[in-house]
Amino acid sequence: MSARDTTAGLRGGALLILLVAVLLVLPAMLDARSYVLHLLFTVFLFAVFGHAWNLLAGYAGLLSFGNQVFVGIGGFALAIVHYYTPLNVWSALPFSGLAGFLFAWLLAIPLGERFSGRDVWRPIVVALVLWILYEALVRQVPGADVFRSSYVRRVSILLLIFLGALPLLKLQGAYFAIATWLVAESVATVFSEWQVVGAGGGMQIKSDVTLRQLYYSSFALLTVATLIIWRLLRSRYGLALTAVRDDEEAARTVGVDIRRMKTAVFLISGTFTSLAAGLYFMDAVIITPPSAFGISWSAYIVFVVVAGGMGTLSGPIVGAVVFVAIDRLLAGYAGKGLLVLGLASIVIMFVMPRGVMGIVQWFRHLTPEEAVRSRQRWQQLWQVLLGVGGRPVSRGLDTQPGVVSAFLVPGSPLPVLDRDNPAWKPMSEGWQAARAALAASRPDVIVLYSTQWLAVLDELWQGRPRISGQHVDDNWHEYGAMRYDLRIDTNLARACVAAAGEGGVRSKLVDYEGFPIDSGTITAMHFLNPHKDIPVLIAANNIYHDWDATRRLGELAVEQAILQGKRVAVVGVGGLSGTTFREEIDPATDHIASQNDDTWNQEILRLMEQGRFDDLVAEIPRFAKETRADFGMKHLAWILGATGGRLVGAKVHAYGPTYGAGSAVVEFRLV
Amino acid sequence: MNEDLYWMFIDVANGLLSGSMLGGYYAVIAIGLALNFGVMRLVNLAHGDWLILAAYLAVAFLSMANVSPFWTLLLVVPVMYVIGYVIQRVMLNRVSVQAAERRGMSASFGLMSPLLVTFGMSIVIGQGLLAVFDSNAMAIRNELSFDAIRLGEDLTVSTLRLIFFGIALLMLALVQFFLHGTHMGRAIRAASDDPEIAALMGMNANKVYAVASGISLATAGVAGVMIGMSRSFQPFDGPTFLLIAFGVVILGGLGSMVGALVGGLILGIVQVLAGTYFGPSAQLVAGYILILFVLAVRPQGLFSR
Repeated sequence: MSARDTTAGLRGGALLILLVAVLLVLPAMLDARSYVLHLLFTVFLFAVFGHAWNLLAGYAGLLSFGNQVFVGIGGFALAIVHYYTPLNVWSALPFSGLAGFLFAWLLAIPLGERFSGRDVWRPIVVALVLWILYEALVRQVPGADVFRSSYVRRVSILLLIFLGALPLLKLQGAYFAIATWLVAESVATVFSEWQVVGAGGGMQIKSDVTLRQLYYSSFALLTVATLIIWRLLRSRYGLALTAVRDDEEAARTVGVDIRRMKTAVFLISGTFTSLAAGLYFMDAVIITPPSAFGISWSAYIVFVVVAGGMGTLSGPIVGAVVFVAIDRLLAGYAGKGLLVLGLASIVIMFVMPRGVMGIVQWFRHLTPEEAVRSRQRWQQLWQVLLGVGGRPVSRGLDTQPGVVSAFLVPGSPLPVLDRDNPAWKPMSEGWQAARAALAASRPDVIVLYSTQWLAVLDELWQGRPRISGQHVDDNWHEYGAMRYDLRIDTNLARACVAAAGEGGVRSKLVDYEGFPIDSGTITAMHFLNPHKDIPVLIAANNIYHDWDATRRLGELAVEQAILQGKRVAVVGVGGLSGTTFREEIDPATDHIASQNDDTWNQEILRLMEQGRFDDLVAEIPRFAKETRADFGMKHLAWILGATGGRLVGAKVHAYGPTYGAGSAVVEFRLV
Repeated sequence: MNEDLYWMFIDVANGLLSGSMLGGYYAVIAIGLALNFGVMRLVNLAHGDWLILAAYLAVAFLSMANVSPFWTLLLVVPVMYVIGYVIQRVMLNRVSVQAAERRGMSASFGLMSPLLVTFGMSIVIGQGLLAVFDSNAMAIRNELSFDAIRLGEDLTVSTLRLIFFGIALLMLALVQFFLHGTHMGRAIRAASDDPEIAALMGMNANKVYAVASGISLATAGVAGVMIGMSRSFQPFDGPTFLLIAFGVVILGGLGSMVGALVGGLILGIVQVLAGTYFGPSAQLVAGYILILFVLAVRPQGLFSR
């Protein structure tokens, strides 16, 4: 941790302590029935609801639309205990949490070790036997029927047994979302028929709680929930949890006990939701099945978390403040509150998908270059707004020409041809990352050089506006054909031919129907430009051109693109170490042909990552000699020329073998 | 014949018959969701609300022109198609997994965002309907509501439901033909099988998705009018129908039209029988339990590959 972080952390801590202190003394300064206190009470409760939901969705990847079942169960547990026992409302509150915990446990047990798999029938049989005994008891002693009607009794017990046997937490994505919703709906249906809870009419929780008591207890609940979740996320379980969210398979292979993680999170979530619901209904006094089990609870909770920032600790708290502010602001327009909340959450998902906390973090985690750039943008913005600052800003802020992204990608078509081979899968994924980065840089043209398009006499530039067809690779013909459909930036190609000619490199435009396109180009365009919406400039690899000549070509191509006012993505297509297996291998066990090649490749990639491009260029001749590197890495020369000294580092999205040869997907960082 | 045995037989026969009729109507409710789900892997949580919106559209249309409710389809279906197309084009295409990736969000967020957005849409539609119309229950009046065809002394079938069943078969056949027999349909299936290859073949996946979504909502238009004709409805009834539609899709398997019919029939019959034997509120619970059961045992659906 750097000194700057430490001071920032200390300042943050001091601020937090100050805030807590203010919140603690606030009730003493305000009227006992103050509106502000009630607002804060609501904020605290919704922050707890949000925490509980965020723990499931934001951390464990379990998107629930059924947390209202815990709201209802917590609320009704409080109402039942308070009404049917002499306990006062505060002693009844723990029962809210207990009921929520038990219900969550019921839903989670099929995941537990003891009841999983084939033994699941045992507890079911036990439950069924108990049920039959209970039915017999009710027949003898009708007063023993806590359900007060045989229909409700049978449906509820059946439902409970069923929910106990349902492996809810094994479901994923939309299935989990809808299943939780169904659970909530079915429990609600039973509650609206149950005489004990007033059937559909609901119950009252009459008590003499004061607003100050509610305020402090909700504040305490929020503090405890925040601390527990903070501890959980700080522990090694926290990391495991996010691993589960991001890639369940991967998490399983590194030995994370997913069942236990999910169960724990679900239990915590259910318990806190029910406890908060208990406090909520103490204040609301009246509880009915529709008000307690309604889907609008999910709408509120989703808004709280999405607005604040999913997957962040402070997100739900910030979101609860936003929620209460909006909700109360709109209280005047009775009934329109949810409409606006719904609209707002859609807008937030599009405009700031990481919520308020996402924006805060974005400001805090800018890299130095990004900070410089964003400052420049602000300045430009001010210049535009105030009309000052000399040079008129004629273009939009994001439309200035120049190189916007640069990539080194492998020319091997294997990941396209056999996408199921596990050995090449990481390469495909690396390609996807590069595609995303390329799309995000919003280029007008891709300036591409492939070592596999060989030219002998002149430097060739593809000049046909649209070129499509089928291609069978010379080496990998048994894998089948690749289709391609390319749009060429012919204006740029013509300009390049002219400029190269002036510079003494004999150049020619190729504009023939059926002119062959090489595997490297097809592969790169397949992955990088799947929607075929970005035109491309393709330059050939003249085998007599050396490193420096290729470098000058790259430079020239980008110069011409900038003259035409275009944003450029630079792509160099070619591999690393060049030795492939001559004999048949099982593609699934593909690996780099030799240890020496592997070491060299990694060394080269490391130099890129560290931004040591001078050292890299110095090493290339040896690398090329030692590993028979793909055409002496001329594709790298193209990139270096095209980016003109703007490279400061790189991100290696994938590195691996393609039939023994080294391949890597690299995204360069530019200043 | 033994009296008890006779009535038991009649109960079961009635259950099977009206359950099947209900099942056809459920299948229509679910076609749109199945299409969305099967083609775009998108669970449209606002599906139920679109159905209700369509029913309100029909009501609005009928308040202007005094015609048979069936004529409203001529207006409702195209309007719903346009809504579906536009919503997909301007909104839902932007919240796919790929879109999340482009913005540097994790894949799990990418899977969640369409759910969150359509959930938000569901609330907006419900609340919007509440603001425009009232919370009073509405219905599309029609002379067929109480007509029934007598099959035996104690065995009848509602005329309306029988017509709906016919419409259901017709629509399922149409959608099936569309998906397998037309160029656009094949494009939709190709895009659902492998978006990358489809893109490679020169298809604009976003447009294909928009068309699929438009058709999905067009079928929801038909279903909405059916709902309006057979029962009363309120702005917030959407989620109930979403759960039914989802149940049908889960029972029948994703994206399969025959599956939708089978799923609808199973759900309809189980609900009617549960209602007959355990009382009206058992209908809903039995449906929910059935769906949860299938989710637990075979989340990919009973009849999918």
